Amino acid sequence: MSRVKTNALIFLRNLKHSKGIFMVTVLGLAAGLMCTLIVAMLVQSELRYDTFHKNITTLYQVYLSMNTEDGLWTGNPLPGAVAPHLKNNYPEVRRASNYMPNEGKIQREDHTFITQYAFVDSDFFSMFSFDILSGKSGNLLTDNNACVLEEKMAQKLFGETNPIGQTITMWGSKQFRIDAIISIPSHSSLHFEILLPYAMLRPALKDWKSCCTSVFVQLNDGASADDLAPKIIKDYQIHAGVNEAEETIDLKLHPFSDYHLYVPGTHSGRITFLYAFLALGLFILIMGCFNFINLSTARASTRAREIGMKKTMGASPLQISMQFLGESWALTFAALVLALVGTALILPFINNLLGEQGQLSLNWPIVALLPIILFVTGLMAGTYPALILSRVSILSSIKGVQNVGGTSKKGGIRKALVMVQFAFTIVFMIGIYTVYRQTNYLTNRPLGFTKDYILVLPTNSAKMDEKYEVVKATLLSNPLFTAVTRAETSFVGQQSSAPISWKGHPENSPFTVDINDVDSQYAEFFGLEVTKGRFFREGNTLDQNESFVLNESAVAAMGLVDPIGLQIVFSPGNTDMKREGTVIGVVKDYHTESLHSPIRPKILAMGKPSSWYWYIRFKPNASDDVLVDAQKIIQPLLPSELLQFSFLDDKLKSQYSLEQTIGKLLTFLTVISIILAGVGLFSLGAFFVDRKQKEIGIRKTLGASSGQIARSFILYHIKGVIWAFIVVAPLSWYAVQKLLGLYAYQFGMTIWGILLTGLMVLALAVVSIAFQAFTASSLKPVNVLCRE
Amino acid sequence: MVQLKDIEKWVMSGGIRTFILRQINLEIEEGEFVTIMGPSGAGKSTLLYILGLLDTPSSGEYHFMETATHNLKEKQLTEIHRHHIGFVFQQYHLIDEMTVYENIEMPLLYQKIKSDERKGRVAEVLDRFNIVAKKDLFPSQLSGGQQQLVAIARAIIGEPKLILADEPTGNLNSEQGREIMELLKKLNRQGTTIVQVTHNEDQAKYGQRIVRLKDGWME
Repeated sequence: MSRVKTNALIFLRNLKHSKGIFMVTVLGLAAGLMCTLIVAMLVQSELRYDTFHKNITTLYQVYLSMNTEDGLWTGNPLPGAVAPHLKNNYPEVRRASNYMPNEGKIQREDHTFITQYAFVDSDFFSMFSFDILSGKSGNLLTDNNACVLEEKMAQKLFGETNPIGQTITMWGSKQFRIDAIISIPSHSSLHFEILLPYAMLRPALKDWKSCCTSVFVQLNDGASADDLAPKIIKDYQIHAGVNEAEETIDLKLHPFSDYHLYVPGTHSGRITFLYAFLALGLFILIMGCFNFINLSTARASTRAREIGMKKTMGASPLQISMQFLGESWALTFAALVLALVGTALILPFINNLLGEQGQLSLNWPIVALLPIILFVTGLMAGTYPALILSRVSILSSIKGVQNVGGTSKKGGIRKALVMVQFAFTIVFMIGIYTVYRQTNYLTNRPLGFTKDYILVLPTNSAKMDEKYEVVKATLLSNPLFTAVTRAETSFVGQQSSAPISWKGHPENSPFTVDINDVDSQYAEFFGLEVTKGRFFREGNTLDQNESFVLNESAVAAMGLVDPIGLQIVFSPGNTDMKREGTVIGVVKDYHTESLHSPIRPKILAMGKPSSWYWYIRFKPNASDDVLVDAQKIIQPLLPSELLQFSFLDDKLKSQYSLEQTIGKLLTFLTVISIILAGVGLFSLGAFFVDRKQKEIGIRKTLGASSGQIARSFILYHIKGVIWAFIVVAPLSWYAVQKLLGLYAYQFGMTIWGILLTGLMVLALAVVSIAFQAFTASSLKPVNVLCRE
Repeated sequence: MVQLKDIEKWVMSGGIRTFILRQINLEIEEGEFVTIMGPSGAGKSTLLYILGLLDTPSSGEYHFMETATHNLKEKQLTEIHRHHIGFVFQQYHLIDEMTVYENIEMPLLYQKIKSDERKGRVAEVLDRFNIVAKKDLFPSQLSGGQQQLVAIARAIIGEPKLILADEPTGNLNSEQGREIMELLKKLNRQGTTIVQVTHNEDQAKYGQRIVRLKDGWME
């Protein structure tokens, strides 16, 4: 026992002696451990999602899957008919619910908010385990005037008053009675502030030709998804009337436990990022341990004498190893404590950064992990130094030989490893730079159409469709609104597509284009440039239904030189949906999807789709409540309609939230990486000062000045960093190009970006090494040479 | 007790053998006080280290207390160091972070001796060497002679049969040096075998026998 006490005393007194180096060691490891903790919390948070649902093992999402020539396509929005169809026709399916989320205005007395709502069926409440806090506990939303309000929204609208039985107004037009208050725990993929009955929607949204809702089913306890899957696979095709000759669209099941992390039918999705972060976290921890090892072995010659003497007294190498392993563990413990404090301090900041992408917390699974982290890290960081130090021979410690703790050959390996750290730092910084520039670019790049100051209003009924001209005229008579148009599809999300054939195109090679029915104002409204021919004209009977406008990508994809006058047939094999017409014009390409994808061939027509999106442009200087103003004007004309306004640019921006979050997280990790690389170089410097003391002493006696020693020291290490850069830069360049290649549109990455990064890393290196250089240069020959 | 037979030691540098010791044959009985002498580079220290099992000969046999040493495993070497050999060095090699008491106590920690007995033995040695008052001081607070005293105390506390001293008075002035040599002589009279290395003729006289080395050869 007392041997432990003695060793502890030696350790503590050593600590007092060289506070600086120990602090750097511990700080470096603490930074690494902090990253580990954060990654652990991230992983834990992601894995926690949706686990609170009691039925989770029997819950599935239903989705569409199709093998296209581009690969697997999976579609989420399904027709409203799927849920009841599955429930009624398959005994395996116990419950089913639609889930159609949207955004709209909720009102109570003076309080108005834009709220996230969802249309669901009453089975929803027994399938998913959201707690009902007050009100009715069963049979919810069986009545088309009922709603279920989420706890926080209830608080916002009602404050202290009991909301049960009260009414709220949606979309400024329809009232709902609050039957219950529901609470959503954290880590739920499903988010809503109010739930409304799907049953109240118009029939068009409940048939097989509609789209737009998610579908969830709960299987009976004994049933297996594998047994059910083959039975339902053809149902969509059968009922939605998709032509056999075209690609097959399958109806499939996706376990709800995979909902958060996986894209249905694939092994990727959010999980990919999780793996990436895990790898990163592990890597950063290893870097931290590596620095620790460097610094521990750098001090080898200070401990050499003690080790030699102990060995002459009969200490075995195992006992020596144990002593130094113990020291490492003590330091690791200190580092872990620091890391915990640091993490707790930085956590609110990180949660802010992540926003709704996830909330992290230091809870018991993480705490339970701590001893394991301590043990493993201590082992990783301490084993090598313990081994090295235990091998110190008595002779070398007596003679004061300089290579105690590793020969200079090993010094080469160390140097290589520190350069690896720098290489990674360079890579991280290039990564950050790329993500930052690309995200900026994506959110700001011109899309080929004007997106600002536009309200979007989907139509819900044929009645509403009929009122278009009236609404338009009324809006335009108000100075606030400058233009109105309409189209079948919105700019965000799914586009309609259909196969076409034309003269000169072989019969049996299918060609699919996106199709959008628009009105004659569409091009002018969105600033689309007509490059050939003309756009549709109001009142022109041919244009109505028999004219087409192509975009440039369509012209290119179809291999046409002058498309004007070309006859095109839509859905030639489908008697219901077949259309024929002539091309009258070509427009310049514009984006209808996020910049993740390239522009696809597109055909515009002036047809009569089953529903529209109305677009309303308002004056730039309109107030924030322009939504309400539009509401006030339109509602009286459509008294019984739901008006679900939204802003076009908000919808577009939300497509890139993932990139932005990644960017922020990457920044954080880069900062850590910089710290570690800096410490790494520092530790390497310490190691070399230790090794080369004698040489430095001798050089000084031969007349070298402190300045010259410092300079050669710095140069020696900087060369390594420059080499790291030369090796890494071309590789990063290649990787960045590949990554950006995933985006159809990229900012132009220039050499300057990479060079700038390199310069910054170089500056970092000089700073790190400066301290050691100073130490090296101020060594007194007397202290170093006169050991014999 | 100690038997060296045809011991040779060389080092290789660039394919050429450089001999440090040549054909050393030496026997030392229990209770002897032997001095190894010679000019610098004669190989004295190397011989001492071989004797102390800190270094291995390139050829020849070394029997320590009737046991052949060339096949001894690490564990057995450790045993010998714990119980049978004590070292005294020119630079004392005390542990700077430990007090006098702790430095002297240290060998006992590796011998599995109980706490009470340890206290007793250290106290006895402190008394014997007349350094009780200094037991809580650190080596940096002691003079050279006092440090060497402590080093010798540490060397003998384990009651080893053999003490090897490498230039024990090399860093001391003549007064201090004499004190140390007197002490060693006393220890020898009490039964400890001592082998010392020195190039000081006066110091050498304390021993009963002088072994001279020149260029690795015994003279």
